[in-house]
Amino acid sequence: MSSTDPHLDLDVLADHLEGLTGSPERDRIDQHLRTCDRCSALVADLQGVSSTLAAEPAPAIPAAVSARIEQALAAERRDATTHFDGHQVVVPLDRPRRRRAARVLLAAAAAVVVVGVGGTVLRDVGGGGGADEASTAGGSADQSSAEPDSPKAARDSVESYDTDGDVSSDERADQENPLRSAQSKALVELYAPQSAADPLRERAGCVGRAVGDPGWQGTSYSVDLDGTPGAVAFLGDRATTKAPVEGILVSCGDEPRVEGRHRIRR
Amino acid sequence: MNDRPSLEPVDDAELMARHQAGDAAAFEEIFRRHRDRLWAVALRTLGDPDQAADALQDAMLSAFRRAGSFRGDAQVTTWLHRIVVNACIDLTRRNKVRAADPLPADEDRRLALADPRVGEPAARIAERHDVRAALATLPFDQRAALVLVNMEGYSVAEAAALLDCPEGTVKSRCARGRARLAPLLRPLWNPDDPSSVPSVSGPEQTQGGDPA
Repeated sequence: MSSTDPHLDLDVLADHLEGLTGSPERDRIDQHLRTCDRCSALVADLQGVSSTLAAEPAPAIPAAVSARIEQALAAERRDATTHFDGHQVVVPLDRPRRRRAARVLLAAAAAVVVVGVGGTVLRDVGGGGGADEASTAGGSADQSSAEPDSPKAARDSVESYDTDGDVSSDERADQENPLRSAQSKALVELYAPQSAADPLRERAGCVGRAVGDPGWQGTSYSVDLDGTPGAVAFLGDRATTKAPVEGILVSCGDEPRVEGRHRIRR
Repeated sequence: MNDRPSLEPVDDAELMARHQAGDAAAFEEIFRRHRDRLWAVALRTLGDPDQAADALQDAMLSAFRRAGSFRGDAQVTTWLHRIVVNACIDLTRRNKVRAADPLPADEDRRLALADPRVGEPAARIAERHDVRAALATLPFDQRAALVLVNMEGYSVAEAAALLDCPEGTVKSRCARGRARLAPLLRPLWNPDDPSSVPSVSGPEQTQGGDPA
């Protein structure tokens, strides 16, 4: 707006309508608009822009575009799917790296499997897993005396084996605190259904923490075991390798138990 | 818009939780619920159906993977809009899309692709064509701000959050965008005004202005 032109230009008026003009100029503009039909018409035009845009019917997404995106999402889901022990593993995609986690998890070391009942009592399901051979833990689970009300009995049930495949029963060392004592190992906790609200419990089935040595990572995923909910916990050392070295398959029925565990060959 | 009602009265947050837990169908349901609105944002912001389709697909795959970044205290729709807006911004930067790209020669095909509805009065289509063509003359930032505030109904504060810029910037972009659009759209409410600019006649516009 020049000093010789009393009228206001669209930019000034548009800013004014958005409340972007400062106080002295604002009053001057308001005053001008009260008497100037031409500038008032421009204000009406600006308001017409807003109402016209608002009245625009939203375009529906073309069916072809929608179908293409749904296919891409389905492919993404397939890409994220992995298998363990012949079961399809449902990999939740809730974190940026989680999709890769199933493949990316690590290298071998030891694993301690602890089954908790009610979140407090531990029950042994550990079994010696050879470094290169799959083994089920069911047999060793028998040695656990499931006493849901006795934390002491639970501690006794902790079993571990080392990376080389040598089973080392280091039960005493694990008694005080299985987590702490497992510094050089990995540990997986399983929770009975009634402890579903346990804050340590992960989303996948009955698997709680899957932790261990510094640098170790454990991630669990849901598995459908012929109608019974299950989970598989992948363990490995993210820092040193790109693939999980250990998978622990558990069923998550009324009595969560380890169904098997495998070293994963790379 | 053409969605059938969901069989289950599950809200978005619950669907997101299911998706995070690995429910393969949950995210697709989220997409189906919001695809029309998200498409509208992408199409209006980018002005080109092919680019909008690419941006929306990028955004949906990104959202699919990054569901963990979704906070329960935000609306799923807002979160999705932000991802779509970012995809549009990324695509614009990548392709160096010029704000005033002329509409493509095969405009009829593109209109058909962009809006599958049929049987609409020709005048109505012409009007929409005018609005979209007029929007296409704006710089990207102004167009994105106007799409969110005036067309999608977001508040200035919400649009600022979506666009990751101060509220004052959103207001300024909206104001300048409206100032540019006013002479272009005036024929819509002042069809007989001889001073009206006929259809789109932006300085960069070289073709495609005639909706007939």
